[in-house]
Amino acid sequence: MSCHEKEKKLCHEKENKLVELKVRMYRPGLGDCFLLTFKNDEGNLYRMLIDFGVLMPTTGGADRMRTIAEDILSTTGSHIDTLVATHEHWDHISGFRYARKILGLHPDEIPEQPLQVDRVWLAWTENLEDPQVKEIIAPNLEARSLAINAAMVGMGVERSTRIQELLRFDGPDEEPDELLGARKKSGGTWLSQIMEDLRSGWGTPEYLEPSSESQPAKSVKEIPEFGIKIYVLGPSRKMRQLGGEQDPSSETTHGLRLNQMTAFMAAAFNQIEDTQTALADMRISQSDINQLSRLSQPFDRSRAITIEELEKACQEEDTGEEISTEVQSFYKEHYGLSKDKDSKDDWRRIDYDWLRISESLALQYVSHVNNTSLVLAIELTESGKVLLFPGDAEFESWETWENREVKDLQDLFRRTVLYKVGHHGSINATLIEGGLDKMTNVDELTAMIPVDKVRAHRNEWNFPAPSLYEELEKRTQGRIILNCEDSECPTCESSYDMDKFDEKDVTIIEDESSDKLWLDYILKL
Amino acid sequence: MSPNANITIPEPKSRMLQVFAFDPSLSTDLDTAVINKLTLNIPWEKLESGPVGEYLEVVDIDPPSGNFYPPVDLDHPHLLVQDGLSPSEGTPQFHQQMVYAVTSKTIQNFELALGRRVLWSPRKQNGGEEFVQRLRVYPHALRQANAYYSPHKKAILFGYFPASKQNAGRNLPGGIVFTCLSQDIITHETTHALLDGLHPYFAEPSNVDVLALHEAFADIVALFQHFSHSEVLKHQIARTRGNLSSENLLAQLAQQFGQALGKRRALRSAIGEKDPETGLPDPSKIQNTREPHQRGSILVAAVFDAFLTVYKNRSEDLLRIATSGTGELPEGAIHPDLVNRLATEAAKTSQRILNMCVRALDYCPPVDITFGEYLRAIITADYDLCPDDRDGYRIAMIESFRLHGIYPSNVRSLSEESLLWLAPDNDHVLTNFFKSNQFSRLEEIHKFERYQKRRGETRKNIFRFNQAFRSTVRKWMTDELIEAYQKEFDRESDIEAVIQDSLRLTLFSKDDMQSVYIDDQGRPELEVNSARLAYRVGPGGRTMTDLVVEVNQRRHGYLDPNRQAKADNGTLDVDKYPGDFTFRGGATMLIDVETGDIRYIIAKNIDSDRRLNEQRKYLGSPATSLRYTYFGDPNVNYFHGVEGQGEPFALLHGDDLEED
Repeated sequence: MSCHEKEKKLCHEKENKLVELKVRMYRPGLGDCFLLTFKNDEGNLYRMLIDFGVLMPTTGGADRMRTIAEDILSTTGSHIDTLVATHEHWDHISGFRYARKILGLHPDEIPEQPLQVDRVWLAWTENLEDPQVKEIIAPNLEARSLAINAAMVGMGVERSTRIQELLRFDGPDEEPDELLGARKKSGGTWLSQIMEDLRSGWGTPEYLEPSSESQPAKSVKEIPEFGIKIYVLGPSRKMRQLGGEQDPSSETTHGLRLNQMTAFMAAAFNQIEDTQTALADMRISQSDINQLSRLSQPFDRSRAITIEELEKACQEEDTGEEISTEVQSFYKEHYGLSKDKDSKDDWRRIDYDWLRISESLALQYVSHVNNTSLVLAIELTESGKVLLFPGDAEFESWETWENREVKDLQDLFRRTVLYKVGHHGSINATLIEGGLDKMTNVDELTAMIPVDKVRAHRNEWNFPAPSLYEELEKRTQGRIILNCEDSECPTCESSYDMDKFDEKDVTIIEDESSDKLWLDYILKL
Repeated sequence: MSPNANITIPEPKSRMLQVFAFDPSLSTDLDTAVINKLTLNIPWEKLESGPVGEYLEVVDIDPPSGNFYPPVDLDHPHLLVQDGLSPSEGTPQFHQQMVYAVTSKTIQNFELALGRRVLWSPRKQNGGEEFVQRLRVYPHALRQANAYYSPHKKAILFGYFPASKQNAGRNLPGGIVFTCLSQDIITHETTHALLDGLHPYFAEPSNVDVLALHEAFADIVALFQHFSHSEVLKHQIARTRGNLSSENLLAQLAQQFGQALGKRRALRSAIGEKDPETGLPDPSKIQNTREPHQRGSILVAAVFDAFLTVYKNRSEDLLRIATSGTGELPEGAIHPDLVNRLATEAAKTSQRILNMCVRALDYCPPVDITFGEYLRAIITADYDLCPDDRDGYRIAMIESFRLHGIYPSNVRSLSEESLLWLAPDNDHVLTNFFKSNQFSRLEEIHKFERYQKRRGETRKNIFRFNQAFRSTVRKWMTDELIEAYQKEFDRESDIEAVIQDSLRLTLFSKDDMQSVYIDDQGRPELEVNSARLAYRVGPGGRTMTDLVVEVNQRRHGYLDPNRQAKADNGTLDVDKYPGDFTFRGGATMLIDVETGDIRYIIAKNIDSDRRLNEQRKYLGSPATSLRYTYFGDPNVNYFHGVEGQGEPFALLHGDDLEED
């Protein structure tokens, strides 16, 4: 029985020796795309693609994704054993949209040689039927997203630029490139459509998690034919951000508890005029929001005068039956009507101040999604070496990493020889104490950082964080491979210092073509 | 017999207003049900609806809910005779009353400690300063677990939020928590406003202590103001059997706040952490603590420990009497007389500590304040009030700061004498400058003194007069002082050498410091940012007056040392390429108004490479949070204009905002 057939169960027939491992880091720009090729002693190849995305294509960038897709097809003979999408961020999965046709995901236009994928691995957080996802994670993310978008509407474009930049991880609003063809379906985001493709394009995906009691196959994948064993280290169900401390069955409104965030969201939602579109494709309904709104009112209705009524009364110079003239004149004198923009105390108004918390909410939102990342530790059984691919998992995820079969996580770290640095080297996607500082294989540890420094600096983002970079240099003794460093990205070269690598064990090859699509890190075994 | 219509009824001196003693959540706990009401004694003033008075205007607009709550009229006769509205969480007018009352109380304490009227920080507009009469207070401005003083809007914004369902502590799960009903939070934010009014440059993040001091000072005032309520103290002392260092209600700031967020303990505990074996704090903790609230709480812990030391000393004899020398109190409740005496001791001690901390503000450098300098300010200010440290307050402070790892720099030892500020003894020109009657400067100072001490003068006029006087002083410093130096010394370099030790500013443009801002006459710009009167006790118990003058200068500061060097030597055009940050130097002088003696000069050198490097390092330090990664370091952004400044005085900063 060949292992190349589309089977849910993996073969346990033979045990082979792994003779070569090639990690191809593609260079899309600010994004992740890794093609791992394992070769065994019979010359057979096992291919795993981890992520395929770019944040914002630079000029011609969407084309670059398609070129990369072509390269993947030609390199793999249009066949991949396992496709992994770590989490729902644009810089990890947008390629599946840009290169939709080439990959064969477009329902109408299928190429001659579409990509064949034997299995798709996603984190359990992508399983829409999972109770923890349905009851806690999805409604929470939805509410948060609503809150942020509503706040942006309220604040206006100029005041919310920082949030807009941050939300690029969620993908663009508009059709980014007319070459993409079919327009977005009404409602739903680009991200959700890509996920739909991934969930159906190549059969039903497997939803993995670190410690599944009922289905051990979800946590550990043994592929003895290639001498590898893959441990799922995260995301853990116990993470607080993912509702770990909540009981999914507790009384809620569609999983929405009344708390600071939802109380804010209910208020912010009033800024939105076209509520129907805003709620389209969401599980949260207008009545959910109305209920939250009611519960989060600070005072009984009888105590308050709505600002709308008050302003109307002031403008119409109401006689003061409903709202007394004293109240009207107090309001006019000490706060001012909103239309009187040049009233003397206009600079002291607080119309938008309450919306500024949305910046924090946006940060938390990015962080939540980062923490849904599927974290894989690939162990080369014979040598014991480990490759760590954590997606963009942040501190909270790192602190909860576990696996039903791993007694000592630190041991895995000790044996790590390749670490794909999370989130383009941002400071909180690599836990140093208890994480990086346990990767003590000073002679072999290599770090790969898929970062486009220029793009990052344009957004004024601190990637890679200097202090983290310093730590990485220490632990890898200089063996850091950066996607690019030059201002000529992406046609520049990857940056790494060959002197720091031991040529007996590692070969590094770069794509010679003018596109400079990839860099290969080849581990000899 | 007809009543005599000519009797004039004097205005009352105070107004009584009810407030919650502790955060209202505690009402559901029978243990404190008895005392969760307090009647504050506020200075009398005529109030308009709002309330709107001399210092404050409460505007109860709630933008998140789209609501407005009608203002309360505290001068209504019904309210006047009942000490205002009764405490009620569901009545917005009571909230308005409470914020007015607690804020006014805080202002009163400040004015008593400093001996003068407080002014809010002026609005910087069109290169000038605009007087701000009233601080705006918005009791229900935000829908989040936070509150902040906005230096841009000269306003305090309070938030409200649902209590966390789990770990709500004593709050009703899902009930609404109002930060405007917490005395601690109100006092804390008001203190930010008061400190900002006194020292506007203490909001400029030039070193790791600056913002931390702001937070610490706000916490200190909140904490010790709490202790000044003896009824509350009595209950607490009875509960802890006299030992206030165990965890207790009083020392837990913003308790409700923390509980509602799902944390069991208060957000910041003034008692601090002690080593379980030695019972001592960890002096190295401060080296690793940079976040302003956390770093500030170390300073708060130091002051609180000093308070405890003095309180213990002062109550020792009481305990000796009560235990007949054994030191062991009998089981059960302690005698109510003892409780009363202990409460009195605690209240007195805390009042004194509070005063020490507030008075110290007049003995600080104008810019770039550090914890060590604040300690020296406390010691010097207290020495001026009470030369004989009979009760050991100063020793307790010095010792406690030491145990927490807070040391002033440039002192020979930690003895009291070494910590006192010094007079400019080696600069005879400066020393004589304000004395000489020939140039009528002393006369001007006397005029200023008379004006400031006039009763019934409006704060607006005080501000205006103040502005004019500062302008006068500025002319003295830039014109007449230079002339005085030039008469005395032949060479500019000699003058500079002398000033290096006294004013530490630069009066002449220098070729190697062209990063200094210059005025229209081509001379280094000099700002007199403050002139005010401070009081002390002289020999024989006489009250004496000092004129406090603060001057400062600024330079363009660059994160890249090479660019800095170029700016300094003139090869980089600072107008075309302004600095990444502002580097300041300055001096505070305390001048005896009677004699014109400069009693103390507290200066920060404009030419200090060390300080410049420190600020560069501080602003260039690696980011350690998601927020900084995407939005940049707010400290660096501070120098890039108002938009980047955000709100530096929030109770909680972005990353602390918990989710549940």
